[in-house]
Amino acid sequence: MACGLLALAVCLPRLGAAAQTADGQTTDVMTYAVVVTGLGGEEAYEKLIQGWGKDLYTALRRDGVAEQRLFWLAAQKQEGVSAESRQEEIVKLLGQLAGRIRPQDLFLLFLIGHGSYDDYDYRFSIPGPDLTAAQWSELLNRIRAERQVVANMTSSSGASLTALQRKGRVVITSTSAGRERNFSVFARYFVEALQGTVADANKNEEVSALEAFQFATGEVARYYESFKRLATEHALMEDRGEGEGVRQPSPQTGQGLLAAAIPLVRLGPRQAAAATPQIRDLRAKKRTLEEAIEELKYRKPAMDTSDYMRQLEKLLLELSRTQQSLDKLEGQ
Amino acid sequence: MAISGSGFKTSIGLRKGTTLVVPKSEPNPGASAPEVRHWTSAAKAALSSHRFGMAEAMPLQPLQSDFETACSVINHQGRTKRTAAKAGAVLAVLLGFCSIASAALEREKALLAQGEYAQAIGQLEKVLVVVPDDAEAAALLLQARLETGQYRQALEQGEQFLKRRSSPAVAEKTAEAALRLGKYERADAVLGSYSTPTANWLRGALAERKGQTEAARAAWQRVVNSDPADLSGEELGVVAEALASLGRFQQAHQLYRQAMEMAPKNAAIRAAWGNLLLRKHNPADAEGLFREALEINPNHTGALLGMAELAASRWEGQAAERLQNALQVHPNLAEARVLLARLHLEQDEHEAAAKELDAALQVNPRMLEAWSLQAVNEYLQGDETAVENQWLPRILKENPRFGKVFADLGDFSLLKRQYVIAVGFFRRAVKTDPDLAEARADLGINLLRLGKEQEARQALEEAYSQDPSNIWTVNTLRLMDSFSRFDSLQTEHFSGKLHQSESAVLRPYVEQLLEEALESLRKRYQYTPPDKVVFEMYPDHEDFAVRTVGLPGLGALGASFGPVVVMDSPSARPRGTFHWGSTLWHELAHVITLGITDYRVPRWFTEGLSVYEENNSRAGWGDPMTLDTVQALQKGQLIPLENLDTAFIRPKHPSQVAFAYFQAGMICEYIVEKYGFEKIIALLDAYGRKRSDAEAFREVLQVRLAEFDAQFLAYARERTYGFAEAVKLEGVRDGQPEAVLRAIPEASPNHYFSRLRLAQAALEKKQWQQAIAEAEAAKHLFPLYVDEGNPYEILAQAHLELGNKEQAVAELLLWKKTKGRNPKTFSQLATWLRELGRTDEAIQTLEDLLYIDPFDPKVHELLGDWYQETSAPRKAVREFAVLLGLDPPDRAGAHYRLAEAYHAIADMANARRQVLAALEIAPGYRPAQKLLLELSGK
Repeated sequence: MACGLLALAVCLPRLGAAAQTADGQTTDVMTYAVVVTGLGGEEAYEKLIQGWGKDLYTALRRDGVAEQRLFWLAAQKQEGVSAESRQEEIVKLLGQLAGRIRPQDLFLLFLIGHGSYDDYDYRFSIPGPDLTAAQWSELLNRIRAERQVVANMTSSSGASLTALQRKGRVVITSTSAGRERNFSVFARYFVEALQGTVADANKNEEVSALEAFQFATGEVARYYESFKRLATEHALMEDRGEGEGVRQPSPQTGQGLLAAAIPLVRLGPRQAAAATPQIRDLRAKKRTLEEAIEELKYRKPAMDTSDYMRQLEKLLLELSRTQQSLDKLEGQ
Repeated sequence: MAISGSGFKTSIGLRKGTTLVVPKSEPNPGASAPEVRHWTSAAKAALSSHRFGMAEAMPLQPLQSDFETACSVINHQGRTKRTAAKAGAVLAVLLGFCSIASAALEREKALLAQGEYAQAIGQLEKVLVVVPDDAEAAALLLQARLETGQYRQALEQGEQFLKRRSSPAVAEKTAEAALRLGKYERADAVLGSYSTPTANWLRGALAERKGQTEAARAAWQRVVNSDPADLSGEELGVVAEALASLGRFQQAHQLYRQAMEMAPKNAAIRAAWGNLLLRKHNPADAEGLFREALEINPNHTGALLGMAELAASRWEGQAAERLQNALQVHPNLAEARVLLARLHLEQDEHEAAAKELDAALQVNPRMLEAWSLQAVNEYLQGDETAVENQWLPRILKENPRFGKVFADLGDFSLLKRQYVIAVGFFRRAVKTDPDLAEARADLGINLLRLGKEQEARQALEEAYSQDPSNIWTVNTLRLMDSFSRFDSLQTEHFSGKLHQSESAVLRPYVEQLLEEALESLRKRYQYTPPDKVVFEMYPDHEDFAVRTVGLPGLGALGASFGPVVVMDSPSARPRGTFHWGSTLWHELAHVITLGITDYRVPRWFTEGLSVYEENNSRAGWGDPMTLDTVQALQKGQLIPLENLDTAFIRPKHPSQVAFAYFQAGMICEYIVEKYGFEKIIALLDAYGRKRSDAEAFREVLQVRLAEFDAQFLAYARERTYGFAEAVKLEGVRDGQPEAVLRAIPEASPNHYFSRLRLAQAALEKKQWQQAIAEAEAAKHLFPLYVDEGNPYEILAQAHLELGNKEQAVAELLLWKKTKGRNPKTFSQLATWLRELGRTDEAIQTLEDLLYIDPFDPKVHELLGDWYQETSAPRKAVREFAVLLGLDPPDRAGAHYRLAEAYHAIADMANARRQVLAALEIAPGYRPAQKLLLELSGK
């Protein structure tokens, strides 16, 4: 599975590359992110929800999203929180952003807390009136960004998937259905994925929405296994805007293509803006080699192992040399 | 065994709507009285038919009024001689009709059915005074005598009756009485040529007692051939029993169901069916039937016996009580005596067992089940010669196919952990009686316990074909089927299995620890297992349970069958709750102590030595002392040595087992300290020479058991530092105000948990010095408490906050040494040690953690990195290989790290393989690219 998913990430380098600049943004592409943490109900949950919200805010702030485009709405006021996570504040902020965000921008929304489902509506638990999935959908649909990530990391969030899905939007829910009502720990690991390099499976110094999802689902499974408890949450991803969410995005399930191309945080130094013809040539060669490697990996099941390894090694050596030359020219 | 304990096989009474039940081949063997059965039966039929409005009753109707008159007299006047006289001529005329007293005998039947045996006997005796030749009344009386153990009277009365006139029902009861008294030839004679289902069934039982299998089967087959349309519910029960004896269990179950529908108030059918279900491993349904039977008849000894067997099979204490209840109703219930003897033998109460067996043999001197346990009793007391030369020939002479004696010897050998010997007995059991499916299953299960997989499978498959309902057989075969999902483990001294899902992670640690433990133990005990020891680990606890006892639900963590050790893998339990390294060491110590004594070491001693060995294997290993143990010490609940084995086998309460382990371990520690380790070896030698505890202690330690108990008590008090007596371990309620908490230690300074709670409260308020003072006080009171909220972690945090990381580390090192188990605390300690530059200790801490929780990728990553830094690349290779086995999120990183480690030990081929694997996942991974170029020399 991992191979196939990573392939997706590399097969679409231009999607991701379009958003890369020296400061993480181009004049054409801006990333906007909204973190909303809801009510905890009990002190222990309040602490967890606020803590994860703060960690997420910090990770995004550090690695990708400029302060003026990053917003944290929380049930409790604290440093970094821009407003209370009440319905009116959420509506107000998303209304303002609907006016600012352009189609080429990237919009990220993260919901952390308790959700509920009464067989009709999913609701996100916030101070004052809750927001239903349909209301969230309506607010999000006003945002013009053609690439969006909505990570609903609350209990029962699976019930919100259908309402939230739309073409160009990666929807992640921490549960597979509304009936998975227990408190979800998915957010803990999703946030952890954005805090360091551990989730960067393909070592491209970015953590994509897909990588964060895969890291979090793996760690959630490990979490329940460590306690010998049956897992009460099974996260889903849907990024085609149609069909059902899947637990394991892959070429086979047809999900994960868009998510692989959307970086949530950047880990390494920014690529130099200046590009000489030699650098451009090397970059083009590098892309060609990367594509050839991915193409070879797709053919692996049908190939003789030793032949595959021989060809792989040759391409990897060539890629390594190319990268070495590129690094020298770029001064790295 | 084919004979039920309750004499359920009554064939008295008529099925609804049946007009006549006359066995066609029913002669009148030597009867002096005229044969009236035909006529009587016709009359019964008439009554019966009349009651149900059937036309067939018509021919007898002219007599009906007289008949009713007579019976009404009998009924209303109570069947005394006086009444009989008053009945006068009417009775005389209607003497034959008085068997028609079926209507009149309803009351007696009801008394019998309800277990009012004394009353029933009284009434029936009166009837028979008036009508001495009433066969039905006579049979009922005999039945009542059988139910209450009056076998001799039943036999004599029955034979007297049969001299006067013939009656199949009376003959059946008489024969059953003879059978129960061991007078098999008389039973045969009594049965003569009757061929009722019950008579044939009894013939089968008699033949089986003598080992005449073919004759027995032929007799039961005749029972089965009976036309069911002609049979009453009770008789259908007999046919069901015959079907069961023929191994046709499904049909037997169906027929029992039918029989119960026809005779819903018959407790005997329920008890008999319950017995079959019990034999066929369905205790829940068996219990339901026994309970229903006892609701109908609270004195039904078959059901009481069944409940006792159920309790005994579950190792419940009520077994003996239920048997005593049954014996109150039926003092000659030899089966109850035999079961009581078995319970005594399980507890090594040889004299008490012998007494019960004597009582059983007083009733039936030829009762093979009692002889068999007498042989077991001799065997357990070490007289194998008597068993081989006296008991076995005697038993096999009586019944050459009585393989059960070997099965019994096998069962008790198992109880003594003598698996090799048990297997030998089970082999002889199935050789003597190839139909003993249960012994064959036991043979297979124990062959597997000895690591003989192929032979085990063959035996189990044969057992399955004989009895597919045996849950132990089925479970074990299923488990064996799953062996294909295990990887092989091979070291110099071990062979075995690790589950594929975790073998990559566990293998290096398991292999290393197995060899290390065995080397340590064999040096000290001067004993080397003759063959490779089999070692298996199960990630699913229920698989381990099936491997161990054949059933899920076992509470243990590991088991040793001598040369075979099986245990839970660490993934079978919640993380951090199971020290698998310590358990492995414990089980290997059993391999030594069982082997060195040829499996004769008593349970308490082998457990005690295993506890002692794991406690002394490495710092922090062994089970921490629990609060239950401390509280038991406070109450002075030390178990006298002579009862210590029983505490393992039949504990008085669940926590007694844990305490027995603790005490046994401490006894071994005491022996080593006071007498020296060589005395441990000498004791093992004495046990190997079949010495009892008392003999071994007298011979080796020159002390009587009672004296030893007294010495040990003083030692145990001293070793528990006095805290066991001083500390007050009452809990503290959640949410108690601090002022209330503070008042507790003022009034009671040794109140542990109030101190601890105050320390926690101070910590939350950042009153570090106060937290340290309270936590130190708590630690001093009860230094062995290392669970959640323990004083060591409070102290560590407080010292850290005060900037004293060295002291924080010192507290956690002490916590670890005191058998702390929390993986997070281990990781924290390792991190702090590393920050203090004490990398070797940090590494040791993480190494220690691996024996509690080997499944945390971060731990292996850290260990690998630190080994790499400290120039221990081979260990780094191990850690990064394990890391990959855990399928970490960063697989490319793990491959790269492993490649680097291989590179460091100049294993270029593996380094290249690993770096390519890293780059296959992440082609743009720059450090891996650099390494690839370096490895390629470019």
